[in-house]
Amino acid sequence: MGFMGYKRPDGKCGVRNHVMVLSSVSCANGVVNAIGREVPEVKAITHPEGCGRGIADVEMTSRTVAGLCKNPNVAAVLIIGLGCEFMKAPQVADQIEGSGKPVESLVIQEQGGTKKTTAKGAEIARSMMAEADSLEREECGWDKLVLGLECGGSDALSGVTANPLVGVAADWLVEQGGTVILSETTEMIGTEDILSRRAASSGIGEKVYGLIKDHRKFVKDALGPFASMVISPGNVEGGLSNITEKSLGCIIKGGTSPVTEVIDYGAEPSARGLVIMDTPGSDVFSLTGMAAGGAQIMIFTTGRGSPVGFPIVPVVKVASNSEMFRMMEDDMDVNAGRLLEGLSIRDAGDDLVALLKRVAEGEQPKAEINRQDCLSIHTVGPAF
Amino acid sequence: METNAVLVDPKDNVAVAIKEIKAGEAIVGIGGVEVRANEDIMRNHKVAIAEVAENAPVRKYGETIGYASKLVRPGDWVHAHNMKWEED
Repeated sequence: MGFMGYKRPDGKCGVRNHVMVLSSVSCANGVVNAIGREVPEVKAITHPEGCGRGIADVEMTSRTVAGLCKNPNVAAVLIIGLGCEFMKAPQVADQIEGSGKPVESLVIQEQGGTKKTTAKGAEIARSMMAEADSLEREECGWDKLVLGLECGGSDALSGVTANPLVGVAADWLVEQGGTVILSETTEMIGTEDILSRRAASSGIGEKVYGLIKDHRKFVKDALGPFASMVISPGNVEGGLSNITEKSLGCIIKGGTSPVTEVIDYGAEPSARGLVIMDTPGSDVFSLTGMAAGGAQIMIFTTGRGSPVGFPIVPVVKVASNSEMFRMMEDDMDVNAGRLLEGLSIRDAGDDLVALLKRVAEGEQPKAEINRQDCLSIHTVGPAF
Repeated sequence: METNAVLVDPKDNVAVAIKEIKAGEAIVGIGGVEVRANEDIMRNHKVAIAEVAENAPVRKYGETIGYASKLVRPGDWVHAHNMKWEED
């Protein structure tokens, strides 16, 4: 038994059927937004990247943008470029051609400006919408699901209730042959020994160790005496004393499976099972990287209360405590605080898996209902 | 008595308060050990349930989360003021 999803030409399965209009460079954002106003059903996505960056960022942005286009939740893509940018729209289109999904690009300087590009873009978007609407859900195996995991606005209970609960669902999906992405390298600091011991091979273990160790050094160099506090003041007030404590509570949401791969930001996993993606701890950057890696659903645990979602991927919110769940009920889907009120983690785990299946088949979690469409591409260097 | 703390792993020497615990109140929910709070413990903060010598590991999730920067007695609040991130 799997879930009813949208089968894509490349064999992947979407849980949503979005038409995405995306800028290749920030200079095209105005046109993307204009097309979004003309055709409100499309996902009009803007970002501040695409030009004026160093080599490492060009590679990362290009991989991320192409990955978002290839995400199985996206049925068709229209890319809007300016013309003189580094990351050109037709080049992005070429990168995703292999996915077999409808892709088109428009260049503002070639079309003759804003109004003409918007009119033509709206026409293309409408025709893509009509084609996407003709697709129907079909039976897909759980091995096709990539589940991204995130925690944000953590408190001391995130690691006690919400994250262990998500760990149960992560273990379940890995057992079904699916893929789970554990992200946020910053929040693995201090757990390098534990995670590398859990690797599927010694080579992967070394990669895990190296990734976290290098990041630990990076954080120390960048933050100096504040390195132990790479957690927000809200985390500290919430009872977490340092990053190791927060990290242990963070990685527990990946469950107990062996780590099968370590991948770069925005890259697609080639292995199934529990995969580590190198993303920053900052939530929206991390969600964007996992969505670019092909995650069709993401689970986001929070203690202080984060309403954040993602434009093309449903994000399931798990509250670590009942008080915040009630306070922010419009943003929360699951109350893991019930684990402190007598609910067993086994029953709560079954409920979460059942919810995942409903979300995979179209039920909208709160962040999707609220259109909490947050997206930010991670960068490492300066802008020029 | 109502549960007011959670011990995440049996190997831990700190528990997490799930409600505010006043000085003198018993820590309930840590499985048999009798400990009273030496000071007010804020909700979600850590309370020691065993003595932790200076420089000895503070354990949560069954793992070391830091080291006592001074002697920690059972019932003490444990946070940045008496726990350091790395060994000296």
